[in-house]
Amino acid sequence: MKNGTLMEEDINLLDRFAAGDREAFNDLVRKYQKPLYSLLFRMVSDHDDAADLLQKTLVKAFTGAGGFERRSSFKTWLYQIAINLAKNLYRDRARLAQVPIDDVVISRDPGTVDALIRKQARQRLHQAMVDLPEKQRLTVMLRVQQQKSFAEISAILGCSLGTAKANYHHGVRKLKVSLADAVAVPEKEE
Amino acid sequence: MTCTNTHLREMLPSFLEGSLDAEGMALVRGHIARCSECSDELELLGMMSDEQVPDPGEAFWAALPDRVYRETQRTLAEKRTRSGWLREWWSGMPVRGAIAFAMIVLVSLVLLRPAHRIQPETTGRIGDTTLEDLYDGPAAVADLGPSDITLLNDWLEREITVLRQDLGRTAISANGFGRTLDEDLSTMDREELDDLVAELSRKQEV
Repeated sequence: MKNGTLMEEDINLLDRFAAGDREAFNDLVRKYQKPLYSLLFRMVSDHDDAADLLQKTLVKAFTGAGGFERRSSFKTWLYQIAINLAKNLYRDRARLAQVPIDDVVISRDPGTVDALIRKQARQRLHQAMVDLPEKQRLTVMLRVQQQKSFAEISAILGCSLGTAKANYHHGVRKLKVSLADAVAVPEKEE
Repeated sequence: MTCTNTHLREMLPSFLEGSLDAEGMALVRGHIARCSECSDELELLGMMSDEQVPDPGEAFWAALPDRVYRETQRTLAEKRTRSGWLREWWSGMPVRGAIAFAMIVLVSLVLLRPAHRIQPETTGRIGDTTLEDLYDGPAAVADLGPSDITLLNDWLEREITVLRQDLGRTAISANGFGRTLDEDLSTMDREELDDLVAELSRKQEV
């Protein structure tokens, strides 16, 4: 019901924007700019790239609003556009740099470590995320860092609910194993 | 030991957000107290969700709607220009197509037209119709219909009349009268008329 209301609210704003209501446009942008930026930053780990992708996502959504079929929510549509644009960025950069995609994705140091003691663990976590297959990585990211439900994730990534859950479980299990291995290796060396 | 309670594990991110209802929160809290695996998983998820995304600042957020709006309008204007040109081009297509088709047909007719036929010397006409219009090449009389016969008969009558007139003129001129049948016979005197009748009778006998 809550989702239904949100969908109706977005559709109403979209219709008002189509009728020339500038304030409706501003409301939609303000509503989604922060969650989208957060998702994009987590995917590209760079403010300039995230800001650029954010603008492109919103422009693409509004200029292609006529093609939005309203079967899913506007929010889901925005996330699909953002993820596809970010994937394209990875691929373009990977092609130019001739390095594997996974080396580009989430490979930079976030630079915002809030506690020195957790820095190493975070780096391991980053590396473990990089090592995940793309769909598992996106699913874990959307579920844990974007607080999306499995139903939303399945709509955004275009897969079934079961696949979304399976990707999440496999992803989390691999992260745990990777982190455990990372801890275990230095102990053996000692 | 691996925890098989997948339903509860799926609830961990919601537990972390605090978005579960009181019953759900209590259920997860009770489970993680007993299950080390889910407890570890919750710690891992907590580490991931704690990762801060730097805030670009209020100025960035405040300026974004305007920036996106300008870019949206510019892109829409470009799209309209493109689609307007395309529509104009497309709407002219039937006219252009018809003209092109007509030209192709015209050129084809000129190039593929059969060689000009040699016209027969006969120029006899039946009304406005020539014999060449009626019959393309020799035709057997047996093939002609009643209307064809009538047309042909009319043509022959005209031709014979013309020939008779020519013949009469020739005969009269050759006879030294210095008069033709075109002239008004009322101007002839009796003797001239007698001579003319006699000459015609003779010609008829011949």
